[in-house]
Amino acid sequence: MVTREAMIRNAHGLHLRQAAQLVQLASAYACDLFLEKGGERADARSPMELMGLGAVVGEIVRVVAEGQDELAAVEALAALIAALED
Amino acid sequence: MYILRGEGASPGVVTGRAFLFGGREAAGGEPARDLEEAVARVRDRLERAAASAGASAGAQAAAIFAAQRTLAADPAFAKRVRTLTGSGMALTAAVIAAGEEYAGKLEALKDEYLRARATDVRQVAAQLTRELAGVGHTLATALAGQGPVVVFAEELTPLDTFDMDPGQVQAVVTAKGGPTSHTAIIARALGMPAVVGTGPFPSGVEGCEVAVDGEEGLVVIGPEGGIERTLRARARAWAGREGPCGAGPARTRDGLEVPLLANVGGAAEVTAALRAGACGIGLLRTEFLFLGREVPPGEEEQYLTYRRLLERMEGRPVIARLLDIGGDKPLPGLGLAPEANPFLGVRGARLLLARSELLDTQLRALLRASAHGNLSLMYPMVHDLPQVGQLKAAYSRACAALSQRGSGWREARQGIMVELPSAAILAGQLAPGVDFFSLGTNDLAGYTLAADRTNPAVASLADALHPAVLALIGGTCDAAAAARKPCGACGELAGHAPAAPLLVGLGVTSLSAGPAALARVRDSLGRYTMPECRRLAAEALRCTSGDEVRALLG
Repeated sequence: MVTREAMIRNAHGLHLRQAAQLVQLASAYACDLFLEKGGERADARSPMELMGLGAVVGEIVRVVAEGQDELAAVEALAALIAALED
Repeated sequence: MYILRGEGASPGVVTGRAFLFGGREAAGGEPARDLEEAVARVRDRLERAAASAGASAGAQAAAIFAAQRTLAADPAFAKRVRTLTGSGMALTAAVIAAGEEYAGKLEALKDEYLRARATDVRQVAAQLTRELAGVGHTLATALAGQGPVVVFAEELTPLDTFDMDPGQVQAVVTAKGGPTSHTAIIARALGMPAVVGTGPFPSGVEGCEVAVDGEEGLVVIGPEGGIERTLRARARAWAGREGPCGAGPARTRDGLEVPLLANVGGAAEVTAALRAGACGIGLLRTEFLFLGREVPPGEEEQYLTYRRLLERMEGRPVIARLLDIGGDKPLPGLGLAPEANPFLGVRGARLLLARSELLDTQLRALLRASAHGNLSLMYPMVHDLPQVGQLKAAYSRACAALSQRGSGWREARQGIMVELPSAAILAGQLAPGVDFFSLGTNDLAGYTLAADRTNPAVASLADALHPAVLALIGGTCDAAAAARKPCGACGELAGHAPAAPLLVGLGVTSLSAGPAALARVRDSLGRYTMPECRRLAAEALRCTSGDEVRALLG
């Protein structure tokens, strides 16, 4: 298992379009992928769960990956989170 | 008379007959067998909607459809539905229950923007239940056979809004929603007046005469007296605004016709083009189909989108430019290598030839669509005749593949963008080998003057009115005329009204610009006779700078 932390920098936070971008990227990897915030965990391939984290600007989320391509997945997802735009 | 107040979400004033959408959903379609099939159908509808929504005016709309598509296919949602049905709940009930669970979770969040996304989750769940009931896409179904109407609805899904025919739906009024709702964004993209958040409608609104003011957020049911007169006058003014200078070609003062065409970057702009009285589409930027997605669209999706667009243009000419990307306009899905100097790198036709699967697929889709309208193909960034030969070989390959497969298709004219100095200089060689030219004045100026428009320090040097650029334009037009081929212009200069007589004087045979610019171009050209246009061109070619040329123009 690999984890990485990333800060949400876009003003609106992790809402629909951002969640959709994460889902799209996550779908390119084979491993299990999750985002965690404050004890809550969301499947990175579920936009509903991702939005349900209520992650807003300035908050830090943890990317958790487990599986064969976990390292690449965790890096890619963390990079995308830090680069999200409204 | 009854007045509803909401928020003006998309400007414009219309009067019309109210059509209440919501209560009685017309069944009739085949119900989806299971959740997977319902999801596949919703995804398919949204995918087509996203493709048609376009890149420029509809970029926001396209992003909404794309995001809703991932929402419809949410694996956690599907799992929750399976758990619920596994415990004995009926499928439709399980979809609604799971939707409510996720929506409820979002509504409990502190962030207002995220709370509003609960609506998106509910809309997707509702759409899925419609597919399960075989009701499918209800607004389009419900409106079939109706004349022009003002649609009243509790709330509309983005898909409902998209599928409306702007020629049929005059305006939209929703009881719920705000100016940032998806309905509002899409109504604005379609140029359709909308008022949202009016609260409950009075009973019996169906079929009433209504007036909608999308600026003031006012809806008057059964308008009377002074209010009626005022709103009717404003509605006339709004309708008049749409075609102030008439439709069809522009005319010089001595009567020479110059076709005015529209540059279009997506289906939503087609409406604007038709309203502006364009004779056709002089530049269809097909990139809109490819942007914002990881995997390029397949032949079928492209074909359906082009076909629909051609059908909406009803036989008017449409010039589709093949995918024009690379370097400076990257597409993440293609995995293009970064280049140190993208403007001089693998762009336009070079990219199409390097990635022949993209070119072949797009050509097949376009040739199939060509059977449904008046289509011309245009290759971007062409540099010389052998390259045209390679492109035409790809065209022949696509024709052969379609014939072999037995698909319906039709030949299309093939033209090139003249936007590289090499193509302009060798226009005499190129003209006999193609059906038409279209001048891309922005790139032509940038490459001729060796100035990058995105670099503020030199951007002003990339001046399409510079005599060096005008000389290339004039030479290209002369070469086209000698080969009896049309030579249009579709760059920014073509939409710059004061330059219209100059371009026509240089020999440009049609002008294509953003729909909003057409009225001014038509007006500008109408003030000059053809001999005056030619004199203006001759004078401009003697100038020593772009500023001198500008001083000549009105």
